Amino acid sequence: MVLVAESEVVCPGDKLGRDNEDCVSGANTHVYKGYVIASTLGKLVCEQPSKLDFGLDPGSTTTTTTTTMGEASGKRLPVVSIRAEGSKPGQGEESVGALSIGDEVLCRVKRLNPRYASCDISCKGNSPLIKEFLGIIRVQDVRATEIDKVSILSSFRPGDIVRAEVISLGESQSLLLSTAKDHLGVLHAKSEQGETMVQVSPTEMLCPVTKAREERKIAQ
Amino acid sequence: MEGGRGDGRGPLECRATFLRTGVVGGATGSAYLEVGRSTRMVVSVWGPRQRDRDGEGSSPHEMQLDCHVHLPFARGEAEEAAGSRGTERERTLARQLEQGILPSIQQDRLKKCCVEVQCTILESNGSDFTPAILCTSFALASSNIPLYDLMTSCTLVVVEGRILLDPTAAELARSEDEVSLAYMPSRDQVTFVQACGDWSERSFKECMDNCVDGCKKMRAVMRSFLVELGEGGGRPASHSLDYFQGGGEVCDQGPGAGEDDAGEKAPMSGGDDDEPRREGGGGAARFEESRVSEKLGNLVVADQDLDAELDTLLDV
Repeated sequence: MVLVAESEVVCPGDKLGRDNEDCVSGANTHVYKGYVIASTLGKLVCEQPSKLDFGLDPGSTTTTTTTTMGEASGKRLPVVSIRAEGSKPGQGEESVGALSIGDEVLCRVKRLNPRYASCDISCKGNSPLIKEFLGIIRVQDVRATEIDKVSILSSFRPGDIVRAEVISLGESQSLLLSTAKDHLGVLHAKSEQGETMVQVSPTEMLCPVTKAREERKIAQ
Repeated sequence: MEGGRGDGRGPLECRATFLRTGVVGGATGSAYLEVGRSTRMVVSVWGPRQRDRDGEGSSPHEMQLDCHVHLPFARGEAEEAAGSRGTERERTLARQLEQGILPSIQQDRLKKCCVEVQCTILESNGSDFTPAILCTSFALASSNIPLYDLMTSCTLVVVEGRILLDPTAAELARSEDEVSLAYMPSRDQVTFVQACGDWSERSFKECMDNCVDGCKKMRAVMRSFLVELGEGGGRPASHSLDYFQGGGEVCDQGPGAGEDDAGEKAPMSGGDDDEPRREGGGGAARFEESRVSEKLGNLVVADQDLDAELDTLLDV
């Protein structure tokens, strides 16, 4: 039995229910001394995992754990999460813009160097960060194959919008980013004339005005 | 007057508190606090942003909390000379605020980030630490930064052998002993203690318990403000200032109101405060020895000297 009614407002520190007995901890909650506790202010959302979820989406860890737990006691446990005020369902999964390893980010290339490209990270997934973070894409993290032949200058140019993945929080100030996956790389680039370029081959973009070709690591 | 305090409060009653969020545009979270019409402050929370410098000996992956306290109307010529670094009083308070509030933030979810807290004290009557903790905690809660609990705080003084909760500046000046603590009610953890004066073991335990009870009441007050804020669709919670006149005693929620109130709304809004709810306030202090030792196990003591002093006290 979840202690708080659905869509009631809870605030940090409120007990929501016993962990793995009443409910399972979801977004913006944490577990302390056997209880699921709210971490942020917002409305409580209880999601009852359905049979369909189990059949179609065995990869989702939350659903799988819930179902296993639920089956052991003969019933399914709801996943409790907190939705911050103003965010739509599906959004606001994470309360604030702290980056962690594995997050996909959008960044803008600032300057190049033979060893790495420096970027300003402005979005985490599809939601903008409060303030930009610094990141670098090292030459060995640009591509998954033939990494010894990669040149930063033929992969990015300043001003490019790049989708990348956080691979490490890094030793110094910058986060380490990687584009070594097919769907990662340059999303939007402008030619020297200032025109938005179009992709013409897996590694080349064409300026529609001057017909000049420039090399990039393009997101496929 | 019961207890003979200047404002008609009982010895264990807090002053009425008024809180409001969303007062600083552009900040991630902000709060305005008034305690009994004579302490006023504004706290704004900025970030999380990327850490810009390496903290003092801390790992670069750790979260950094950057607290600044401003006392713009308490500046004399000597203070003006201190320049942008702030006066001694401002820096001490900022350090205490940082120590007191940091344990309530889920730091592992804010790696390599910096959260900045700007606290401006406009008017002060009594302890600065307690309202600063309350206001910062409220601003953090409204900013969606992940927290373990609402941090609450309470100050208590002993004047002529009597315990007075939430002292005014006049009471503070006459006090023999003083203790302030920051406490997370739903986790039952004390995160900051500052005590000065001449304590015996028994009186210290008694004061700690009274402080903790005050904190629990404070949590219920803060929670009811926050719930109203959440239900108001994100608009700043606006309470009329009549709130103060309606019985004036908002801190009295009965004992343990903060403990198991997940589903229960704190019974206070607008003017329906006339009904007396005095079970927790006027009564004699309750002693629960086991609770105290449990709390002392969680102590994070600011001052090394105090730490040693506490040890000797508890060994008796």
